[in-house]
Amino acid sequence: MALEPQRRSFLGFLTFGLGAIFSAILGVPIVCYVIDPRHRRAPKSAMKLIDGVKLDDLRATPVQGVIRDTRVDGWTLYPNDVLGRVWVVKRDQALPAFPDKAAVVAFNARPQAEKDAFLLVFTTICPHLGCSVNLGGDGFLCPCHSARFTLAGAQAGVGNPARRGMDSLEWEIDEDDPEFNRLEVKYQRFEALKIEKNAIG
Amino acid sequence: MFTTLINWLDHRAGIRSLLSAMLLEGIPGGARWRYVWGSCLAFVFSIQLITGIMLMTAYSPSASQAWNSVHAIQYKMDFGWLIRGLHHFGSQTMMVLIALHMLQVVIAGAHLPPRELNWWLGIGLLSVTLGLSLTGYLLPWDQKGYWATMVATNIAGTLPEIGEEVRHQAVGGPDYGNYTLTRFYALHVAILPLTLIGMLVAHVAIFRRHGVTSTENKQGLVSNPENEHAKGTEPFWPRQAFYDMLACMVVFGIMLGMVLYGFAHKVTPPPHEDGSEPNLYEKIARYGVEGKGAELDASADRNTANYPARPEWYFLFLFQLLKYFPGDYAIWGTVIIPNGVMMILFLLPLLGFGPVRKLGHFVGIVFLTVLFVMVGLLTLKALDDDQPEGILGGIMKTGDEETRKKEKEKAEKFQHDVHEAEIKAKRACQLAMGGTHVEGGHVLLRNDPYTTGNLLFQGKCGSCHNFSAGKDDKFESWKGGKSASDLGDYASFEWIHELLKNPGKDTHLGLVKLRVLDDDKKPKVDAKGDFILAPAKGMINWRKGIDDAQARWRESEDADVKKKVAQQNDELEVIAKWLADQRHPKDKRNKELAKQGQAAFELGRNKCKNCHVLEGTNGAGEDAPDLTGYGSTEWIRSMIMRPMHGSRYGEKNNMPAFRDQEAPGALKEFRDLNPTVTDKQIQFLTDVERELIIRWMIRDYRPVFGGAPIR
Repeated sequence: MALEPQRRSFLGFLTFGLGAIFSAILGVPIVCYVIDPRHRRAPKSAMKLIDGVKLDDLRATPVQGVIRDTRVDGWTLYPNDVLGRVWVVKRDQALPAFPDKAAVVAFNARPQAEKDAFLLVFTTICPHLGCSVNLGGDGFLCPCHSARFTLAGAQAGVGNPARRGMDSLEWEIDEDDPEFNRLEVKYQRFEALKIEKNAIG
Repeated sequence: MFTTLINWLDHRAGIRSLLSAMLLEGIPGGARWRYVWGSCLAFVFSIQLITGIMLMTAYSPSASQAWNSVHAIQYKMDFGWLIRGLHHFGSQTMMVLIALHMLQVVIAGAHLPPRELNWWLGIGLLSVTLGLSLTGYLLPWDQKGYWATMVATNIAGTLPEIGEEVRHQAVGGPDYGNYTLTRFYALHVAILPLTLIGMLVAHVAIFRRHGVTSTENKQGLVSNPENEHAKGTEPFWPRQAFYDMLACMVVFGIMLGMVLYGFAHKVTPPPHEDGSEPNLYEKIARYGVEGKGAELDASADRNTANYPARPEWYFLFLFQLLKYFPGDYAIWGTVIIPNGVMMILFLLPLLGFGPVRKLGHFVGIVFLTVLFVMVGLLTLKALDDDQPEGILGGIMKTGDEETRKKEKEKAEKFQHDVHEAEIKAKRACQLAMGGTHVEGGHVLLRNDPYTTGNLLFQGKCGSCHNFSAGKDDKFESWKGGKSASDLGDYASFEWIHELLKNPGKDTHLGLVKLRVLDDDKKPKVDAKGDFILAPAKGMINWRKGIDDAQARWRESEDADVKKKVAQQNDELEVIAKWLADQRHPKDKRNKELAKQGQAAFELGRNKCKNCHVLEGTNGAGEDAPDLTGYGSTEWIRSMIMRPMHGSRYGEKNNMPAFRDQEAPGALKEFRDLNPTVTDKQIQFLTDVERELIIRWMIRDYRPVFGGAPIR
């Protein structure tokens, strides 16, 4: 090398210094911008009507219902979109009669475990890896990795890929429905593949 | 540890020699400030690359979602305003730097042989950069980019023979839309940048082969090892590196200054759900809501009557040039002259061979100087033409009195349109804060009472009605109405009180004409079959009666009778207040006021109930509008859709019914229900348009979607 570099010089430090300041001015905002999704959380779960399911129509075979609400997808607002689907499973114990709203309010006030003796509401999302669980065999069967569940939502069969049973949701009778014939559910999604049931968002 | 790592890397990849090759390049004649422009360009281009990739992470190239996603970047994402702003002003900075770089190169004679190949590469880089600007301008899919790029692609269509096919291919079909965006996007983020990078690498490599153009290195033989020992040769590091770095920082500072100065529209973000104030981080990260960063115009809308389109400032000279070649000569302005200039630029180095080199160098400097002066003058003239009084004190205005007057009117119209477009842009940015519509950002504005409702009122109601703006209103009063009341503050206390005090005023009933009825209470017609009209005298006569009674009371000797004047005036004020309260839902009305108002309404001497009825009162009248829910959306809706109904003005009414007649059977049903209605009396108004007008009248500016507001 013909030209010997000046290894340490004042101008060299100054050049590095300016470069460092510039990198910080541009770098810090870029990092904040990239991790912006941290501001986007799942909306607070509230009781929402299950569309397409009437209590009177429930039979031994579970039925699917749809949860609709305003949905925000990034910059787009869908005034009435499908948030997700649920399975409603009728159990052996028949629901009590609801002569008036007070009876419904009293029933809704019972602990969820007690209410679940009458009906179970599951998300259709498989707790294994999130496929949509269908009816199959004697209970539920996930089409992706053959996770099996009983009608009560428990893991069934040997070598089940799912690490927990189907995700049940809190539900109540719709107090505003004049016939007290409809269900409301607190719709949530849960982390896949965990043994514990952790809500997302 | 660090040294070990470096040694390992050096052994495997030879980074030390790479670094010294990069930094220890010999500069014949030593470091100079004037060599910084190329480095600055590379620096700004790398900022464009970084910010561009960042924008790609949140941008959606589709005609319905592009604007929405850019709006989210600008106003909702942390530091999106900064990244977008730097990218926006970075492109403009590159234009300025390219001009400076070219000028410096030609002055130094660095375009002459043996460096002519690099000059040609430079012209290629210039073209690609122009292409990047043009394609990037469209991507936000806002009005500005949409209409300006529309013009640009139409210009491509003026090419002889192949023009239309070129345009068709650029646009991706017969018309602007999704394919235009996806094609422009691919060009902007992949094809053009990759081309630019390839050319840039070659440009720098060739530059390194010949070195800077100083008196010590005219022949560009820096690659000759003997030359590196030449007297006055200095390594790139550290002095030139520092010069370059400092210049880059000044350029970056200017870009940052533009972003921080802010050219965006201010918006009010929705409040936090828990009611807390934004903290300092949030304020800085979302500085875009304060108008920082680059402008975002309203979402592109094909349904735009008069958008004042102009290209970005660095294309203004081409825009201006076109004005001088009207009609069949347009091709001179669009194709022949611009490409001719590019061709001359391309050929300039050929003047550097042999004995003409000195002259060729001189010609090059003169040509470029003249070119830049012309571009500058055309740009200034373009700006001047759009200002009614001109720029620089109007010295660029030419022509006789008549031409000047015409030019001035044109500029005034342009400025008016710009003002209107800015109001819409600000409004669109604000509306989208609550979430954007899935069909596209333009839908919000089309269904916005504040802007569209206002225009609809002017178009549909404005030939008869006026609308005086209140003191808090940001829009102008409408004064085109000739034969009906002024609906500014309609049904407010002040409006009703004024009506009771002075019904004959032009703002109330002074201009109103009603049909004259015969003995059977049917409208009278004249010989030609037209309805006979007469001024609306009902309220005016009523007030005359009140005035006469008050005059008598005033003259009375009895103090109790004298007092009646003040008492009645108070009663009329209470009635006005009470009527103004009727627009609210029943459970929200003032109960105390209702008692007082009803009592005053029913009082014999006030004579209200002789003509009017109002639900819940003891009113018997049939000759005047039913005041139940007066001023509510329901009342106004019924007045718009069926003013000839008995609960409004009945047979006396002369206002047309405005309603949607497109639904099957709608027109027939309306005619069956209102047999005396004439064709002229049925005007077309869609349900959404009607709701927009109503919301605008009552200053409820939530967008209308099929009647139900979203947020």
